[in-house]
Amino acid sequence: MRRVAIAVMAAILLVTALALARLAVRDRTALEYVATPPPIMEATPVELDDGEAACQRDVVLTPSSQVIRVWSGAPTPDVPRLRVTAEARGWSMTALSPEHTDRPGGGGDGIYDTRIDPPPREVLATVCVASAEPGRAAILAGSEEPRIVSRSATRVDGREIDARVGLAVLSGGPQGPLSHARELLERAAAFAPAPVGWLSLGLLLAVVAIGVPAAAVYAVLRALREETGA
Amino acid sequence: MSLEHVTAGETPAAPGARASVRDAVRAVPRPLAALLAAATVLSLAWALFTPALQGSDETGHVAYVQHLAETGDGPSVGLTEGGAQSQELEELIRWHNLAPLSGVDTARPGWSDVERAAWDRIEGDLRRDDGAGPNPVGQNPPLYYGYEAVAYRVTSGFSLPTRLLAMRLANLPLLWITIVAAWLAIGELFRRRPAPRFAQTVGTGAVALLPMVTFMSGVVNPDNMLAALSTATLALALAALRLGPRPAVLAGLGALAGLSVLTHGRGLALVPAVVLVGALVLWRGRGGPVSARARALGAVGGLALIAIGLLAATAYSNAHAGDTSFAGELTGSGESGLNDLGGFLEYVWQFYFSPMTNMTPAPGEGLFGYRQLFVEQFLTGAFASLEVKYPDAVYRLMQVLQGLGLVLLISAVARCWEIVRAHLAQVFVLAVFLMSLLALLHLAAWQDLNGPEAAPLLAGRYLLPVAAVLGATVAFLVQVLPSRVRAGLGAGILALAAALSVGGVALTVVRFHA
Repeated sequence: MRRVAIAVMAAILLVTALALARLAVRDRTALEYVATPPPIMEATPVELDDGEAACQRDVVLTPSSQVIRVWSGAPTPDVPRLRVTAEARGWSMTALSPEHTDRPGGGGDGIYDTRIDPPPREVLATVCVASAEPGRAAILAGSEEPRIVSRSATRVDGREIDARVGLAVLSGGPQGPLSHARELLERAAAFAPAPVGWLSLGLLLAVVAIGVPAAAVYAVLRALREETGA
Repeated sequence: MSLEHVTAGETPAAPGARASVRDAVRAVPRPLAALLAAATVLSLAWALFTPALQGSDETGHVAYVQHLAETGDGPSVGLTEGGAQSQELEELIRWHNLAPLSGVDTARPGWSDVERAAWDRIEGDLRRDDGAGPNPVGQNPPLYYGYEAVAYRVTSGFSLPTRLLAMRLANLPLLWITIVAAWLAIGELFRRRPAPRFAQTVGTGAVALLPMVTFMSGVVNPDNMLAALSTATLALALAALRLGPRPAVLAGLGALAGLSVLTHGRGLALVPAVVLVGALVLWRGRGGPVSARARALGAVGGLALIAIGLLAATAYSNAHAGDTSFAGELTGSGESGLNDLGGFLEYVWQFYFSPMTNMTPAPGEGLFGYRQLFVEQFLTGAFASLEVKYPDAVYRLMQVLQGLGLVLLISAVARCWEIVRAHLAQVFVLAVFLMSLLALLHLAAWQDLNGPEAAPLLAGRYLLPVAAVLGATVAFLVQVLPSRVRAGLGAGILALAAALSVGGVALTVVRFHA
């Protein structure tokens, strides 16, 4: 009976280990900060005419910030380039979205990924997005869905609008969780009280991954032993 | 092996009054200790890796606890001079970037030093006592919130994140009660003492390692206390079949049902279950060693305790929710569907089976049915605000496995009918607990479907109070199968539960922090 139990448990736990390994190395978007999530079900187009800019305050930018992502709300892939500006105390920058709008991240595929020069330190910045092409309005994807909320409202030329424009900050290209495991644990510990830190969370995760299956195996084998008196 | 083929002679884990704590700990059966340890680790992981307020409706529950702890009174459902949350909680939501996070898997919590520093600068100057409402869970009875308020008060000198973590960790004793009570309940199913260890371990493990059980214990939610009280009630109800209608047993059942009602509106499901079980115990105990006077005393005491719980809960809910019903579970309004029995029965049929040709489709967009409730959200699990899910293939696999399990159960019942018949009273108790909860849930969901939003308020976590019924069913199956099969099945169930639990934690870590 013990052999059967061990074989079954080993098979299930092996499959689980493989699935977890895949989860740990599979690339995911390297989100560093999400000021406003993109629309879920229904996008509200936010049209920015010549000279108009959509701005959000208190956007976190760090020295590892690489890309500011906004979503296009245009009905066609023929979209103008965007000018993205960011300002914080003692620091500012301006960047243009990719030159080729028909390439991934150029806006034509629904996503504008604009590479930025990151600040030298962590800042809470005001980020503004505008059309970079005179005479061509930029249309961004906003949302009025109740589930889409953000720390700061979207303002167009200083006026608060109902729609919230999706805006996220990326630290680079896609990466697997395992490749930045310590950073991931530091994030989990960011608002946790002492003594919770990245190390203790890492240890806890190891205990979960190893200790929980081990406890299940022990419980089964011990119960079989107690029952059979072996 | 049958339920009768068990060994006797082991000492029950019940240390005497003089036994030391160490002796009591040593008396805990090793398999149970292992399951308690695993569940505790999982609960800690859920509590620490799930960002603040990301459990189901956790913001409302936390705001309730805070207002109760700060002012001595709970928040109201309706508009007040205060807000839905205190100023302190609002600012934590702002600087931890929690507002866009609930249920939206493209959002991430704030984790930067600059956000933490902004929070640290202001947290000392914020009001804690102005979250008087509107709070959507303000109609809930106060027992769980009062319990959580103790953890809040003990840590009131610390920052809000510390208090939030303390509130989550306060669920651990409730988790332990749920697991130990499940162990005892399953032990009561077997006629001889001690119960067969393997079946008891696998059955209890099915509860302790059920991902939703440990996930919920990592967030602030009254379902934790309801699960603990319901499982304890089930254990006592099964023990009552053995102990007979002693006054303490009947009063204990009434007290637990009363406490459940004071915990949440869904605790109402325990009232008919306890009354029916009490009636069965009294009927079985007629002419037994317990005198008629003692039986009557116990029955009246039990009913009185239920009545006290009901009256107190109703009074509290009415005071904090205006003219809405007790705990918002049942409005009792004809307009909300209660006068349409045919429609209700058709809805219940369509919840479990494909509609028959002459049936009217249930109101609302797309029916939330058996697969979603039982398979996805209860047996397998969906975490945070239901947005942290396993891949679809896992749910499909679990659907197949639970289907096979049902077939196996039916064939085992048919094959071992004599054993089942010998345990009809226990089967009755398990069925009554399950059916009374399902009846309440479906009735409430039917009312919601006929309400203005036409959406049923149902979630897998609502089934946690009957998780021990699942455990008991698993224990029965494991016990009656041939020895090689039972070892493989039992080991497989526990390994699968452990795998799902570890996977759920991993998915949560990746969803929120990667």
